[in-house]
Amino acid sequence: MMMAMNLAPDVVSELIRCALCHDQCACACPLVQVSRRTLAYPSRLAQVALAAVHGEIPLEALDNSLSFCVDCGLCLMWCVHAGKDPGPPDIAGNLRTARSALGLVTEPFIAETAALMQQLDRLTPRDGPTTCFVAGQREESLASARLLNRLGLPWTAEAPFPIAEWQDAGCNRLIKVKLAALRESLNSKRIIKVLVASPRDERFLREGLDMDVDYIGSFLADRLRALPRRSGTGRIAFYPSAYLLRRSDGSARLDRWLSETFGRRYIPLQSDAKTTLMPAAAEGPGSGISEHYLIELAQRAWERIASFQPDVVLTTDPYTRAALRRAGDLHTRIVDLLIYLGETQD
Amino acid sequence: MKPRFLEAVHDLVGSANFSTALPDRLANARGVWPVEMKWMQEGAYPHLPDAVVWPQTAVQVGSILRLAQQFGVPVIPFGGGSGVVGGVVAERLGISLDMKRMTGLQVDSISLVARAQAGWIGQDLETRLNTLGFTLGHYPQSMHSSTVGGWIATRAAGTFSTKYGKIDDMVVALEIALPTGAILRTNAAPRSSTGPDLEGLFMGCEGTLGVVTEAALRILPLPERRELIGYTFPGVHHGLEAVRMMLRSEVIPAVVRLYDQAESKSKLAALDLEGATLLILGFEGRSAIVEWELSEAERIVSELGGVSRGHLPGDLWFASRFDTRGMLKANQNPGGVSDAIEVAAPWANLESLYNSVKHAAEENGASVHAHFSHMYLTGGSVYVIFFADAGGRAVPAGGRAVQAGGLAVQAEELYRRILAAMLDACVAAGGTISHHHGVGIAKAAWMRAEHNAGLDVLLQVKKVLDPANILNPGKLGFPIAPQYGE
Repeated sequence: MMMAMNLAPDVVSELIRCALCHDQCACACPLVQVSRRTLAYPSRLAQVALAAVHGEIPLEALDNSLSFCVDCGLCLMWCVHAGKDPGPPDIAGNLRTARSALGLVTEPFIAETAALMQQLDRLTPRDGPTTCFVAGQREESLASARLLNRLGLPWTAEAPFPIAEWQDAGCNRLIKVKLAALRESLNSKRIIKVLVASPRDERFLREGLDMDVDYIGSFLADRLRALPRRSGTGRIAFYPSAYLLRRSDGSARLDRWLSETFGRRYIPLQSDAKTTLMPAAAEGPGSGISEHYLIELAQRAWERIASFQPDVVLTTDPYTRAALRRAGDLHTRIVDLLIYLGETQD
Repeated sequence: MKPRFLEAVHDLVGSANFSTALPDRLANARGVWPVEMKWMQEGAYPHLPDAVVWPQTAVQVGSILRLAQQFGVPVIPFGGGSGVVGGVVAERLGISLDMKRMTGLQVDSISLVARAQAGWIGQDLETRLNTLGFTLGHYPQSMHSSTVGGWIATRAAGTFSTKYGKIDDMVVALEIALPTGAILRTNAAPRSSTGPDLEGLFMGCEGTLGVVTEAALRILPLPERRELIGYTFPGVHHGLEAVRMMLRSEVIPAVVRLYDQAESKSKLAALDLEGATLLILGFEGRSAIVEWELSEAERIVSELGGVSRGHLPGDLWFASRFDTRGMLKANQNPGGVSDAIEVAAPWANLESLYNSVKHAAEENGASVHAHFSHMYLTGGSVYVIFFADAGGRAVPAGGRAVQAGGLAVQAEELYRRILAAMLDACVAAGGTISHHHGVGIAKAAWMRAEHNAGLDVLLQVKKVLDPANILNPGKLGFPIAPQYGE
């Protein structure tokens, strides 16, 4: 039976605007880079969603195309409509929800995510107070899960979703929808802390949950201060995720943590990044926020980064890291913050 | 679709590079031609390819074309899906040959030649070249989604074309897969005297004669300096004269954008400037040369009654140069249509071409504004941008135009009527019907008027290279039917 999908009017309106757009966000999308499928273009995702709304394409036929979106938000940065919400990540989330309601499972696009899901499926809440790790489909989640394991910290996966539902949920944004369920579930368990893999969602959860919520990078930086570190690490620079510049103050907090953790070896780029890389004038509607494309940002930042001659440049998401690698020289290590923090334990 | 053909193609490229899934077929069914937008709004999309195939080598492309010829199955080469003339519409179904997984790149920094495979997305290629200290200098508005293969298929132009040229000027050599399965590789020598230019035959062919799999492109060292300056003039004529005189004086801006009074009005108001028309020039290259060009431009502008307005107009244009929201908004309205028709002519009749095409659109109820860009020593191009409405303004609940009395259908009819009037006027005024968007199916009916007997020559070439008419049938004024007939 062909199932159509009902969406809120504002989402439908966004679908139309997005589907008719000229794809200026396409090459910002990491999944376009990885998959090279036109279907990964945000506008085409919107087109498919529009067809699903109209009943012209059955939800059953959507298969794993919906997991193309990993909710990195880069399309919103590049959006000529100034990144209005709801955007492509919400569209994908809505489609996944609609499929889930039909009992359909969206296969993950990234094989690594599938592996993590299998791992999570075997996990059960440990005895005693533990940490809840709010996982998503982002690569930050994968890195976080690995690092928590390496550190031997007791943790459990996000509690409220049965695995099939979690699998379908995919992106962190869907947490917004299921916040009430999350709250109820966490209250029934002996959770002492909620860690969020994406700093973008930290504030939201902090407001929505009456619990100790922390961004996992900050949490780990805190833990690591008490541990012995390798000597001779050299200077460290931190280049924040592109989307943090626009959508969250998470990077400012992280900057503070890093400064406290690494002391004088740490090169704070954060305050400068906000003023020189993303001028306020570029934030207004139609002002060309889209000009500040991730790689252009990285290129502009690189000159300043290089002047400090750091041994390592830390980033918080794989896409920013990839952009820096393109912009930078071959001799500087550019690694994910979480991975780096893990390495310092060896 | 013939199952044995699909099986053979599937076996050739493997499961990971082959899809018959409806979402993939839907995604690859269209470009961004306004009529395609209306089809989307009208409901069920009318032309879906039967499968999407992602070849990874030129040999695979050749093999697919050979199979397609053998089975008589149409092949629609597909890049970024950013075309604005219906160049990827699968009217006869067939397979969408998505080139985006062909992303090899070799840069010869000695010869200033980059060999890029057809699947490179423009911004990615430019960024990669920039990190190596080079630029292609090709910045089409679509550069974040369009591909090298698509640029060559349509003979695309970027906003910095007056200095760097169109993509045709950047191509040094091509690799092309032919329907026989053969791979044609032209020589990358800078010039040769060995008969007609084969690259020229395939550039702009829109995938109807062969499939471009790789291009050797001329690159340049990154410019030392870039300056964007705005000027105002009492009218379009004065601005055009200034640009013409600059080019005759060997002052070669990279960017030339002269807005007519209608398009200048809002821009000047936003800048709080007085004047009738706004000209934006961009100069880039060696610093000393840019300095000289700026001073010469200033002198010429002043002689023709223009006034320098500093960097702000140019900086604002640069910051919003990929913003197409005005046209998007019009097309989002089920009854609305908007398009930019880019025509070109020699200097001697450029202004009359502008007036004729603009008038034709206005006579059909459209509001029009225009700007001149892509200027050359011998002439230039003008974008005549029209907005019209078939009667409805509100987006109906659910977004279905058809629910609002077929507004999108009426809008499509309105669009076609305005386009026809504008292209008729263009032909009558001695212009070319397309400077760089291509022909597709949107302008196919005007190819006879454009080329006269030349179209017969092109058709003979088509028959020889593609006897079964499997390559992107129906585009560029070629027949759509499997048999050519007489």
